[in-house]
Amino acid sequence: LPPYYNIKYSIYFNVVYRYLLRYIQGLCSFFTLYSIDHVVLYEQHALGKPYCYPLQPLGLMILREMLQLVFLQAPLGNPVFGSDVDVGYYWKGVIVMAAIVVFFSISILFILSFSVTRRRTHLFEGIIMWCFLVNLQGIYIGVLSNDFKLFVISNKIGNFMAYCVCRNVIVSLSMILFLELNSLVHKIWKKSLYLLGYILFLVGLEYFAELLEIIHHSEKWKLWWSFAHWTIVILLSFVVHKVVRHIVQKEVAV
Amino acid sequence: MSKLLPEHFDANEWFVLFTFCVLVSTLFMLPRRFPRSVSIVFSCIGLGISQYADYILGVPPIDLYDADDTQFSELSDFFLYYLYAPFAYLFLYFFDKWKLRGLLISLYVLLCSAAGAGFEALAVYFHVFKYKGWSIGYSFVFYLFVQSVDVLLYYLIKKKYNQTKRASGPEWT
Repeated sequence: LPPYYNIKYSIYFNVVYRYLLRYIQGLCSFFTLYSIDHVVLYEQHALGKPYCYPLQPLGLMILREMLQLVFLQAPLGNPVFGSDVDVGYYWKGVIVMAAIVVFFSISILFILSFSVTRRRTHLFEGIIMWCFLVNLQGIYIGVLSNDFKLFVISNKIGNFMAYCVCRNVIVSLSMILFLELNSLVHKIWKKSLYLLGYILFLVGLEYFAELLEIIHHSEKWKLWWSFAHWTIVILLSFVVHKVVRHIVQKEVAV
Repeated sequence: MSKLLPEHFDANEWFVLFTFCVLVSTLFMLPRRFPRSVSIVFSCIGLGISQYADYILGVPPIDLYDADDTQFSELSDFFLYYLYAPFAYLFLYFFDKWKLRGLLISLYVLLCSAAGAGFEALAVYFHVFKYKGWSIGYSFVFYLFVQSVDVLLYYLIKKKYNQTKRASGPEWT
């Protein structure tokens, strides 16, 4: 029997590991982004033998890592890995997991908020704004990241997915919610306050992504560039939203 | 700025420019079929999906192909995304015009996916795309998926338009 198979952990592993995890593994199997990732390499290293999953779904890797952290308390000396664990390498894995969990959770919160908020935004406006933001971000990444290397997106699949979620769900939905909120207030100082708050949120999100190793800004990057970038994105979105609403309102009731 | 401009203005840039002009001219020559807001939505769907897919599949870590001469993003790359806007519009234009029903919808989507894959093969011939693990077969499957989503969105948008249409708004049946 594997060493973790004792009374203390049997409930976790029987219920969570055997059933839930396999169920989620099935759900996650459409992530055909198979690679020998840091978790597998870590396990090879920790177990001291060649140990790799040739077709390992990404979701299972993340969950296994989560389980190891929560239930086996790996960095504190656990029964599986013993004391010769490369804690630094392990924590790198934990950071990847944290990035995914944090950004997916924020995006779920935004989807929920977006669903329950009573909006004046018409479906057409939503689609056009989403496409506009995706386009704008595509150009931004293409020019600043791909061409000028002013920031680099992580090569790890998990981090990259967290970045996609951040750009395409969190930014898009929060932008629509912000524009909605902005159209409800009429005083200039209130509008400015919301604008400032939203810019701070987006810049904070960007630097949080840097902290979790999702993106890495080059040394040339200045903090005020982030502020300038998001200010321009918000103002452009504001103008486009006005134009779109003007066109859409002529034909449909918003 | 030099990375944004193509090193050589050759076959791929001409191909993108020529196709873009032809498609946009076709778009404006066709009689108007949809309300203005709906036309914008249909065009945006093509643009949004193509760019979204490109920034997942075409950049590291997945990085299955390069667009144009280099791995860098050039101005013509951005033109390339705008090609997909008239494509999506024309796809839904004829779908609406011919009022397809039943199995004909599947046949139409299949044929258009094959046409899309054919166009992409032509683009590969003109060095617009350089595959690094991607293939035309994958493109066919991808177009099949995207065009099915387009058809679903078409019905959703049509329903929403007729639900929320103003009295002064044009009819779309």
